[in-house]
Amino acid sequence: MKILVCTKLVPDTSESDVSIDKTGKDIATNGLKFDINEADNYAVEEAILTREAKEGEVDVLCMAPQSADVVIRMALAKGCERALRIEDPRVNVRNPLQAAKVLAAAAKDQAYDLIFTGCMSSDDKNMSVGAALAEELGMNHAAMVKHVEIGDGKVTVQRELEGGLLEVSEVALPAVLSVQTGINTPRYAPVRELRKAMKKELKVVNLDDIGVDENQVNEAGSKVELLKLYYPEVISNAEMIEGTPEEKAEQIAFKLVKGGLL
Amino acid sequence: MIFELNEEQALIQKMVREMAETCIEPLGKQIDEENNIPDEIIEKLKEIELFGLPYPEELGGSGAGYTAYPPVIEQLAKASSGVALMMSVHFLGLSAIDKFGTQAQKEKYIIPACSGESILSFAFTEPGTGSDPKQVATVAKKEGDHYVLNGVKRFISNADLKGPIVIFANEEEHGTTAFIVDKMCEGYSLSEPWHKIGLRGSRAYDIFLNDVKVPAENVLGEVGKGFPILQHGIACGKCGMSSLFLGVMQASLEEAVKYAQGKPYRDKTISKFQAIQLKIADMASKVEAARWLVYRLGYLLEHMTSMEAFNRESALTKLFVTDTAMDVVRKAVAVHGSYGVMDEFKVERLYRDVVIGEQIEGANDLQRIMVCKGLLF
Repeated sequence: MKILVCTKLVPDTSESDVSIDKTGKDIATNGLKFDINEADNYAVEEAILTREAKEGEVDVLCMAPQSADVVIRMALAKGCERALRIEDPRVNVRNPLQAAKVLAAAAKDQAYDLIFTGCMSSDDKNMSVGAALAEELGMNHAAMVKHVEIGDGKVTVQRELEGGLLEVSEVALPAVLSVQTGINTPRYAPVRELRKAMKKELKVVNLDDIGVDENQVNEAGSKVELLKLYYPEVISNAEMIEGTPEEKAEQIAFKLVKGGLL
Repeated sequence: MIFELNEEQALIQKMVREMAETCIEPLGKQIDEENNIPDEIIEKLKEIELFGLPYPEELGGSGAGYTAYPPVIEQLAKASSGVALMMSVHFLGLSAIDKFGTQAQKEKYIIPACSGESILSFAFTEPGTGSDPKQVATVAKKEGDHYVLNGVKRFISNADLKGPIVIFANEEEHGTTAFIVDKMCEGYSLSEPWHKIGLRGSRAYDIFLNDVKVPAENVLGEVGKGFPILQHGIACGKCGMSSLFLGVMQASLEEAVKYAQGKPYRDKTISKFQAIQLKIADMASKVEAARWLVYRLGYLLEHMTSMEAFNRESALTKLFVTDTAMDVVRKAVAVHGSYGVMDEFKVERLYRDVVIGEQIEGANDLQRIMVCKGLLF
């Protein structure tokens, strides 16, 4: 089975304040640390688990600058065989459809049976690269995948729906699966595998190498224009609830019921 | 001159940091309170192949070399100094066998140690001596094809964990000699663990050696030539301890920053006050200076050309790092105000950890004397 997993480098904003840069259209990256998108980490693990169960090979694909190499090498150390990194400043990575077009171009000749992506990137939160990638490659797609079972020419997936519901679907291969966090427990690569990963293939390509017309994937070619980023106005809506613990609990319960939250 | 980890070392550091943050940090307080490292952490350390980190793959090691050692111990210590101490002592014992052992000894002891199946210890200190081999009272008497050891060793870490221990004894004819002894063999017994102020989780014991029979092939190096082994081991130990206290002070810096950014005072957080900013700046600059001294020591350990020179470098590193750590962690406590001495806050534990630094692996005044060698005498 030929498997591909797509990963994205995102800023780790858990320990840093996010600020808007001078263009007003992006965040200032000075002082920010970047790491693998959380959902993609689960996608890497699911790809490797699938390969371990069904044999085959796993490639990892990432569109990012060289600083992503540490994330890519980590995926290689966990069990991916080969890596491809797309580095080209012409790509409008903020547009998920354009990003998917580039990823698809890099993947199309490899005849992958299964492609894993994370369900959402923690920075842009578009939740659409997986679906767009499937569309570009003419593959089937399942989103918010919580469980994967490979069958003969198909994959049975459990998808997470609202209200705690799980949906079971059969998806014909080839397919793109966008996995939800928590689908597995990502492993830690042992030291010897980390060292071996340094010797595995990590190929770097640009748009010309993968035959993509830059006009289709650059900012000018985008049908969505990012106008600005801004901080929402801080409005103080806090209401202090007074009284004994029992009285406070009663008032909170009343407000929750009244607001339709209970 | 390149002041950065190479790509492989950075990758190892990242993996260990992520593992420590996820698997060890949540248990850090429990490890301290119970003075015990849960088995699940030992298993995780085995899984990621840390027990053989610097040693060659032919001996079952991970082959990363000693340059990768300080960044790894630093990350472990940020989460739990007890876990870092256990690993540091393990490497201390292993380094002695790796450097002075016969091929047979290496195969017998290093291979299972690299997998974590056995955990090493190193026993020199006694009730009557901490650093002077001439005062060693433990005796080794040759009887046929083995030696018989009798004596008491003090403050020994990992003494209760399955595996070999390097023990120094005064061989009756030739003087200080190192022996490899299987822990828990007949005649080997332990005191109750000492109640340490910090670095808890890794327990320290007294070891009682009562007619312990050690085969002659378990002499490490040559009979009567234990002192260079002791020097080498202690120098490696200082690399581990320096890495550990680097991790403790990095953790205290992170705790201070987090607290300062979250603690409101009037209409802003205390991070906006210069009195706090000055402390944080001092801490950050000192941590960074210590880091590069420690990382350099790991490099020197891997590329050692002169034992004498390494002894001096390890002494000045340990001296600077442990003195500096005391200052840095004290400032972290100060940033927290009264909360800093409450055990609900991590800096309280870090403060208890750091006060041991000036004493462990040779008191700092001894380090000063070692640094002066070549400068003044």
